[in-house]
Amino acid sequence: MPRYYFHIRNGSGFIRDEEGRELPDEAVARDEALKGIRSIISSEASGGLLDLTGELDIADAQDEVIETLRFDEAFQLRLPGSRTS
Amino acid sequence: MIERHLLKLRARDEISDEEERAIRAVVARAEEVPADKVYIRHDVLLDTCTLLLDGIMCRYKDLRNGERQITELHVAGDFVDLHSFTLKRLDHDIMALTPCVVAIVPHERILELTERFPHLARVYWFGTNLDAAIHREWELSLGRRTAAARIAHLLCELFVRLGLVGLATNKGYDLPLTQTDLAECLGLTPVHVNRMLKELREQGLVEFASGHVDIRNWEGLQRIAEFSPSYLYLERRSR
Repeated sequence: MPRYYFHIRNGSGFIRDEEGRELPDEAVARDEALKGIRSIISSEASGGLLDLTGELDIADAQDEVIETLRFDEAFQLRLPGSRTS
Repeated sequence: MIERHLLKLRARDEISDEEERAIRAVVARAEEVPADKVYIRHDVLLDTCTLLLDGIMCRYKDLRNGERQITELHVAGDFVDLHSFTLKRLDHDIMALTPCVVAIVPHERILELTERFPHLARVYWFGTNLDAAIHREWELSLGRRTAAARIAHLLCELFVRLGLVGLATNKGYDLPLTQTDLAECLGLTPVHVNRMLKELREQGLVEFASGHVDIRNWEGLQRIAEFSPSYLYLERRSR
């Protein structure tokens, strides 16, 4: 199975994934990235912070970035006064 | 072969030479278990217990979608399924997280041992009670501790447990687990674990890299984890 790396950039700086994970394909890697973003945000949210300004880079075994996900792309956002997006 | 097991027992009680000889005699054979192998599956009828001699194993339960929750980590010297002696099958699986060596102990020999030495029956009863205490502490982590405190607490627990069996120095210990393994212990995602490890590192508390845990500030790490070793029952007394 190919190895994917999940690097994070947000308010607290850049966090490199040195370990990576073997996953079946890019679609599964994307799902894992979304789960990761959601778990970080939900933990921060329970502490009273909702910061969606970060990004997550999915990199392949050669450490080439194959996709960048903005944190807000991991959520369906409904804010007061805005339409459901 | 079972030196670490004896270290673990003797940290909590006196074990006589005669009892030691009897414990050594219950081991039928040793086996190697490769990493990532599910060694005992749930609901399979068992007539032996497994004593971990080297490596790290875990108890886990999982859901149909593949989500796995590790409920306890086992280190060298632990029986991974002493409770199978009375339960006869497990409600969870046991997996090797690293290459492991185990000793196989037939239930019938445990029966003879505990009938001959009622004190050892109580010592092993204590052992299953200790596992239950560890489960309760993990419940508190999973239900209530923040992500950073959960990781800090697990790293504190392993520091104490590995130290007891001679596998930690005063600075740290080898922990050849992946961030995915840790995530499955902590109810977090690997991405989240990576981020929290960075936070703990930047606070100068602990560093986990390349399979090694480097304790930088033991007092501070215990404080953020609200770790107290009281649930590990480290006092030596007659059971």
